Amino acid sequence: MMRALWLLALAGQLAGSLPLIAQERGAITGAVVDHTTQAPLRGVQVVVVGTTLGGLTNQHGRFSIPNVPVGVQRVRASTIGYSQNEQEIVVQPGAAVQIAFELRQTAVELDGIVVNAVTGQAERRRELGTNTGTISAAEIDKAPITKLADVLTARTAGVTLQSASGTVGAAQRIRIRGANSLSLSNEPLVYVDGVQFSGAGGGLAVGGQNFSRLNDLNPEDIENIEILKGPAASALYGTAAANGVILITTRRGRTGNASWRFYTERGAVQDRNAYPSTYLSYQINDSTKPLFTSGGVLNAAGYTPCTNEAAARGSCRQDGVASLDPLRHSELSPFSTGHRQRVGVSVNGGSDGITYYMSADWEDDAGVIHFNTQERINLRANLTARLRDNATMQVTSGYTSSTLATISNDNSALGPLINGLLMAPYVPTDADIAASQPGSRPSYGFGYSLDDIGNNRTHQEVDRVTVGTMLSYSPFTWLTTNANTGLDFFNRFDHHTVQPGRIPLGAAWTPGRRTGIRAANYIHTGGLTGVATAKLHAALVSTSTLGTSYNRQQFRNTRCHGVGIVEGTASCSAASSLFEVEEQFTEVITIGAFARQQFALHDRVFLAGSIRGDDNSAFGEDFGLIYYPSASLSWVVSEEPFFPATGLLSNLRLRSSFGTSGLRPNFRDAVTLLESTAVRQGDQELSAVRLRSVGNTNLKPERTREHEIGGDVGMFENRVSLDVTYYQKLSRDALIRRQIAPSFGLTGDVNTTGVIFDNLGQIRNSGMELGLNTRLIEQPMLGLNVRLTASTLSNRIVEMGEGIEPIVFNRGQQRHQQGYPAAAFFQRSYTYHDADGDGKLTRDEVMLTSDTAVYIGASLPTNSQSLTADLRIMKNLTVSALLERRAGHKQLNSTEEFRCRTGFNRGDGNRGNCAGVADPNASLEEQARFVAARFHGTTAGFIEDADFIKWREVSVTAQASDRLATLYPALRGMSLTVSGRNLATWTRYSGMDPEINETGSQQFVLGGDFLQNEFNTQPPVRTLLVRVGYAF
Amino acid sequence: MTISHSNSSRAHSVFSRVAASVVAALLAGCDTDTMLRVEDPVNATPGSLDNPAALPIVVAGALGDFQVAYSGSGDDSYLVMVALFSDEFHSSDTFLTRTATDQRAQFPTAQGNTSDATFNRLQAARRSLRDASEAVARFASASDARFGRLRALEGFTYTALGEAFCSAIPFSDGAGGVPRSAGPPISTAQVFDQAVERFDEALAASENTHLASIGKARALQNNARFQEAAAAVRDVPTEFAYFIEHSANTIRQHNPIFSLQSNGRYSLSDREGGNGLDFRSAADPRVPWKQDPVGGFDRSIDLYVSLRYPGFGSRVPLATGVEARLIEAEAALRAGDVATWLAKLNELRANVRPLMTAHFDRYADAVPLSHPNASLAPLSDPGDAAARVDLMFRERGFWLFNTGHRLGDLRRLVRQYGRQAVQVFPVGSYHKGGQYGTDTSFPIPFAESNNPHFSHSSCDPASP
Repeated sequence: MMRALWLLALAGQLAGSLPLIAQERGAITGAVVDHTTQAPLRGVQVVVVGTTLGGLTNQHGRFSIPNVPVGVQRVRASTIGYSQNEQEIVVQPGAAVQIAFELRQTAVELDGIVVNAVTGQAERRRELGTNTGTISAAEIDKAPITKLADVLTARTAGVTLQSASGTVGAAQRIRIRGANSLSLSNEPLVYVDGVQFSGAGGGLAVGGQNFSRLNDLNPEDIENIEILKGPAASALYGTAAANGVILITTRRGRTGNASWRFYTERGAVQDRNAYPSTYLSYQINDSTKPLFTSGGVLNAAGYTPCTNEAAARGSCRQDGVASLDPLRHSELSPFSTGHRQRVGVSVNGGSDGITYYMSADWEDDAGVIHFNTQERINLRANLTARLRDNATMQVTSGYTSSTLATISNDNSALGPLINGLLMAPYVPTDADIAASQPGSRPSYGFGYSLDDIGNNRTHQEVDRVTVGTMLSYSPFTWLTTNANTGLDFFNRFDHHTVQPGRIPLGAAWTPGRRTGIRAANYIHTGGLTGVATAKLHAALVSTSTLGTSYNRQQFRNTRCHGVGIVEGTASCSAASSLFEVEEQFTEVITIGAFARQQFALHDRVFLAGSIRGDDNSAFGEDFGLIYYPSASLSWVVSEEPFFPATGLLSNLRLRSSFGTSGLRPNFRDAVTLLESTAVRQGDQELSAVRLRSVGNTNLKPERTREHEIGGDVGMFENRVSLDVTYYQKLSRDALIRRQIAPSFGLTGDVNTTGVIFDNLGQIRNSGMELGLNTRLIEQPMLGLNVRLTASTLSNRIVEMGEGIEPIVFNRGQQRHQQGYPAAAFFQRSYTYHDADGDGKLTRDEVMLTSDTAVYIGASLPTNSQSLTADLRIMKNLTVSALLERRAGHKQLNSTEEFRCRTGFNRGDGNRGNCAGVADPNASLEEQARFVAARFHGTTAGFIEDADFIKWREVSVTAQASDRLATLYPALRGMSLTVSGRNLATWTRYSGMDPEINETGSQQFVLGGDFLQNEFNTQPPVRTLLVRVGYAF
Repeated sequence: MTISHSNSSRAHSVFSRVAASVVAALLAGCDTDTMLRVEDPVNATPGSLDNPAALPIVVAGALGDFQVAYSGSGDDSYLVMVALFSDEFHSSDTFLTRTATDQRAQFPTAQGNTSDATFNRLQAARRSLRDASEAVARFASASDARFGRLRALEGFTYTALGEAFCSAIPFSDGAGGVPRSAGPPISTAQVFDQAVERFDEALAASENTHLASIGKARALQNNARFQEAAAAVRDVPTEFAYFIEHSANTIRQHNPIFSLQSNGRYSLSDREGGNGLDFRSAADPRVPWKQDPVGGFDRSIDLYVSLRYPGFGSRVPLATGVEARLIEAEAALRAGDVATWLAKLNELRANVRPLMTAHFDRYADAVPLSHPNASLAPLSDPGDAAARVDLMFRERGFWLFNTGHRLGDLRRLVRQYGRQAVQVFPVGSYHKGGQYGTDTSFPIPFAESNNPHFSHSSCDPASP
């Protein structure tokens, strides 16, 4: 039936495309320049108003629009950063009319273009009732970008990028306007040139982090990024768009001669973080004895360990304290200076018939732990062909080859951080090391030195192809039909080999081991759309859109594992025991149809409404279609005749929108499944099944409805712009991982059992967003632009469902509980009082103040700000800086908690090696949180304020001046950039970094999308780069 | 000739009508099943296995679930938790939940405990075994030997839950993988009564079911019905053993004791917490062990490795003739027949080597004939009632070491022999700091809060 609907939709479009009346045509050609500098402007969209005809300017600012109906036409030129301009002309049959535009720069962004990835339709921001985030090529080009996440960080209000780790290749979390779902992913949907682009993590476990495919995209190829922040803007994207949509457009060719761009960059990667010291306080019984034995153990013949708490109780005397900062110690630190280098070239050009953009890029990263490396090659070819005057075809293609080598960190005994942070304050000698084995190295936490850990490297190799085609056909000036197809495919090979004897961690490691995972991921995107434009009246333009879309995602995974490999081999087939093979397969299909109607009055009032209907293979069999309506109003008040335009208030737009979109359940969440397994009986391996998941045949998608209202104000002749937005989202039918009482016998030995997904919950996100863009100084010799963004977030679980208990995770410290923010921190509270004033706390001087866990704080930032400043000195020197602040949230410092409770000071009953345990000078607060955790069972003291300000980025770029280029022509088009990332952090958080988290962007553990704690996680690194660019 | 606005509008109107029609058709609902059909070659559904041909797979699945629940899948299981919580093992690990279990100072249920998985898996095995036995009855017959075996193993899930968890254990109906009706908690004694019912069903279905006989006797013994217990195992030969099989083939099938000791998580105890048995220093051939030179996972605790399970595929004896004789011996002791009691114990001791060799894989490697402690001397009557009880439970402790009996025995000492918990469980200073707690059983997991008939206040882990 759905197939029939497709055909019907197509037939409708084709019927609409039949010529109704013969037409005579002419052409419009011309150029667009900057009003102030008279420099040609590239990438300006020039359109014939009331039609679908138009084009983009080339690098010389020129454009050409053929096939224009004769008569009076209104032509509009618009681009981001400039005020739009319209002119009226008369098109003559068979002739080309010349027209010239001069655009004025503006801080008010009304006329940037957003291309809808579903419809293929280009819309100006003034037409949208939403606050769409924009990151332009100019913003991206300011400084070398190491990964796509750098581009998205702190550029747009309401968009939070969280770098989970400083490990090369590690993924990040992206949150737009909070978190909508307690059970599904909160990552936004990403489209690259209209093709859905996977940002999936996955691969071999390395303690905590995973590795995102989103960073496969070469930032150098990006023309611009548009961010649809929620359903009010993304309703047409349907059952996957509740978390917002990131639309990435890669560079295109421009008509004209070939334009080349070379660049090379090189730099250093440094660890500049502060790390906690390890402590051991002791009582001296015989000072003639050495403090430590050669094994790094406190010498019991002369010394007795004595913690602060034990000393406070009077059970021992603290005569001395040994301390060590192992991760900063010259002989012990696992960190060295890493490096980064990149070389790339691109070329674009073309004729009126075909334009091209091609690029090649090679990058090589080595992290501060020298085993952690990544090499990546990116190729891209984008072609746009004018097949006929009224038909164009666009082909975009990208290829990525990536090789990543990494080691464990976070929750792994084989991580360099944990082995350092749990050290006794004793530096092992070369003789100690020579006399020991991996796993029992003196002093190291779990007995593994950095060299040992290097034998546990994990590799990930990826080949990825993303191809999209867009066929656009305009049989009439009022009708354009678009057909788009896309494929995003990657083949990922993860492998891990430990040679025999290198990691003697039990029978499953000592003989050597091998794991290999080969995974293939396919995303097919397709759609047919018809866009009809009509002037219903001289002042009223109607745009109607009708379309269908198709999306299929398929993932295949085969894993082999074996123990007991032959020295020097690296193959599962060489394993002699514990051989395992496992297969995974998931497939989800979404089909949808949509219609949208927009009316534009005087090109300043825009009213639009749309509806999309979806069906999806992951819905329960008892659930049918789902509909996502939306409506939008945008009014450029300042262009009304009655508006008293003044220099002070030069621009005003009011906007409001409403929309609904969804999140589908995961593959087969709706079905009760049995998984194949093997069972040994009677000395035979039998085929068997076990319960994998309990299904719900009524399962439907989560629906998020969003209201948004706001305005854009231009002041001081558009030198200052202010945009203010208020939004409120309510996610209904939120999927709750309802824990089935285990007494039903449905909670088995895998994570997915014991829960049933039910559409029970409601989550609300609301907040304000503000963007202030100022051109403070605009002089020929000096320019200063400052942009400030700010946002607030209020996130609440409104409803969990009747009888549903809080969902507790992160070792009992975070929970989803009705009436509180998602993933809030809960623990029993405590207080302390140093009754005897000795500066030490006993377990009796720390008192619980609640019998049950109480709310401590949110895990998501409740307010964020960013500040971007661009200083131009003369024409050729630019200095840019970016700072970000996040506040109102907590982070669990599990690293310190673990050190306090489990540090490896041998011979000490408590064995903790943190300051709170064993530094006699530790503050009462530090002591109290350890005592509360150790003796009263609450970790509340380790849940800390995580507010921070980070200096994210600075860059200085010098362009070869005209004078220099005259003297040395070879320097024309050359630029030199010096940049730094992650330069400083100001925070009260006492851990290694307030932003990192133990599980990266993993989602497949309970609460995985929300876990907010560091646990021996590698903090961010500083990158210093020099880049030389050359364009001609 | 130019296209007029009116023509454009007319065409636009046609287009709009088509658009409206298409969306209206979609909104009216349609069958999208064909286009949305997806493959799933990896998983089966309950419906696809509801036929006679699939019966072996369903039965094997239930046996596998029981193995995972009772013995384990390379990780924490009933067998391991009992060893850790009692005096058999102590933690040489860094996991705080494992430390809390070892220390008998378990976390608040909302925070989660290692024993939660034990409860979940035993309940899952109970449900799975019941589903499988009903499938056997449906597609074969209730007299099929598989029926009796499955019902007996179901009885063992009740027994294990009763021995390990607090005296408020809920049982709900999840037959066929569907949560049907939630059940209220029942007491420890009621749990063992339920177990006896299952064993009786197994015995009724099949005559030659020593497994069910031993299981029934164990449940009866837990309810202090000693003479009935002895009667139940009268016909069980001493050399009988029912094994839970393990395999190195998949991680799920790994022997958990070997797996967890292999990487240093747990160490064999010796007089743990003062009250514990001298499992190491007794140099008893029933508990062979060695010291691992690397040490515990936490790199602080010496690692002593039990050699009862020398590999990933080592079998675990669930029910043996040895246990049958020990049940008889205890019944004799309760009846005041000291001579029979002592004779039963000494008969076993005299055959320690053949019995251990029969019941434990590669025993001869762990305790070669040349071993100075390869045999056991006969016991003599210690003379007073309390000492006899001590000896009885010491013998059980060594014979049934690492088979999931020890926690039940310690709780029985409190319930049935008037001992205080502080006299039988490990107490005093804990080796990782602090003191031992007061828990004598595992709490019901927090997730059971979703059972409207259950309240965590009814479960007191400190009550025996």
